[in-house]
Amino acid sequence: MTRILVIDDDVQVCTMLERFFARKGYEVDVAYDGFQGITKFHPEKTNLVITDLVMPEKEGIETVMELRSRHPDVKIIAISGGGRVGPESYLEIARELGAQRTFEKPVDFDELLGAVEELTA
Amino acid sequence: MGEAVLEQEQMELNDMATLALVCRSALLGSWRLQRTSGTITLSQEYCRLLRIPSSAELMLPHDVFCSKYIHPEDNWFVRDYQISPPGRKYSFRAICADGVERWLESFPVQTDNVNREMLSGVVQDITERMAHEDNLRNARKMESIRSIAGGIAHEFNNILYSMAGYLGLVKEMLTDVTTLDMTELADCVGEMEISNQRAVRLIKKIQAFSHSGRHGIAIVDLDRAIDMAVKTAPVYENINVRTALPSEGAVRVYVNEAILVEGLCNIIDNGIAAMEKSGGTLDIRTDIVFAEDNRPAACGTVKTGYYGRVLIRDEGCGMDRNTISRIFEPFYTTKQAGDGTGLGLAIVYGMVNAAGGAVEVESQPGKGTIFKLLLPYCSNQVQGESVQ
Repeated sequence: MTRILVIDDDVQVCTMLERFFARKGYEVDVAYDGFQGITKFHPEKTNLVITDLVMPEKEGIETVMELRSRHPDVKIIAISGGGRVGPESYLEIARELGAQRTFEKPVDFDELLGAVEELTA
Repeated sequence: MGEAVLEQEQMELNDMATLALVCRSALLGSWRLQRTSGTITLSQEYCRLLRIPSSAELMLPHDVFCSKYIHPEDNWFVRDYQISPPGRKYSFRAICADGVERWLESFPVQTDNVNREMLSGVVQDITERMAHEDNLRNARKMESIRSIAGGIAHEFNNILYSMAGYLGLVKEMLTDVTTLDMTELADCVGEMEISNQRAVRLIKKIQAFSHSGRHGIAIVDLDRAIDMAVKTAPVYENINVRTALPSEGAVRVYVNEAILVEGLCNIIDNGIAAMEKSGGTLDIRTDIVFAEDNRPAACGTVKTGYYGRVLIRDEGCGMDRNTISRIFEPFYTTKQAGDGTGLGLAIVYGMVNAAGGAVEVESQPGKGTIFKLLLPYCSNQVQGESVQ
């Protein structure tokens, strides 16, 4: 079964994504910040990471960089609703650092699902 | 002998030339005011600052000087300050001879101590400095607006993101009622309800922060407000909340009660959160204090007068200077995911500003934090200790 790791500091968003992808037949792990995300990532089991970018503790950008340097083949989708600057600035950096796909919150779920299917195919 | 005099004269001329050069470079001028005659003498450099063509000092009636060269809106206090004893610098807008407006700062520096007849002063053109300060103020204002707007967008995006997700799921479930799981449907609808409540709470918090008017401000019993706030505080086995409050009604302050309780809850919650791992005691006490001098505080300014004071002391992890300088910023949070929106102390900021109070914060990493909330006391007939 395809396994997705969701990293977001918003507990409700995590629960929603977990429920959404579980319903679509995916197995989902959840982490509430970058540190937890790095710990919960299993190189053998995790097929895809969906991460928020603006988070306390460990920022999403830092998490993307660390995951990419430790596991060069990891597939990453970055999602951001922005912070002090608009989401597009964060998402551009995430793209440059190796996120395969990026989305602005609120996300179009059909597009998100399409991206997940494409990256885990 | 004659040579010595000439040399002396030459040195004096050199000194005067140097002084003139310094004045010109630093945009300085000087003035003397003769109280009895009501005349003011402007140095040649002051004339230059005011674009008045003059090859020497210029003497003119003080009234004429004020009405001709001082901006009408600043005229009253310049008139007043210029004849007051020296020691207080003031800035004002001058209208130069060419009609251009410039900012000047005047330092009354010397008076004739014998009969107090003569008052002198130095004046400096500070137009450029004022422009830089204006730019800096505007840049800071824009930065805070950007930060607040970004914070609001981030919070609402999360709420909408989650709401949209559940809406999609519900829609999908309803397309095929034969496989409809009512429990799952109820869960999704429940989550949508939570999103809605989050949005309502967020709006209320933003409104509390932006509440800067006097609306809702009344006489409030500080101890009663603390009682209400303490009752809603989370309970932990390793944390003791201790209150030392005078008899009911003893400390009455002017503030919006609902926002005060919300603000106190936020400070208490933060104190408890800071001790969640280590445990400890949260001390809360109130008293009446008298502030002798105006002084800036972490939030607002402590002005001379009586205050009802709340001291909230925790033994938690404390904060460094950088964190202290940012804690009242909306959407700034040091808490873990899901634990805070960063609006708690911003609400305290809005409440204190509206009430005309202040918050002082003492903290060091590892040594706990003390919040001192000072709110205007509502009676003039009190005796209080001085604020330390």
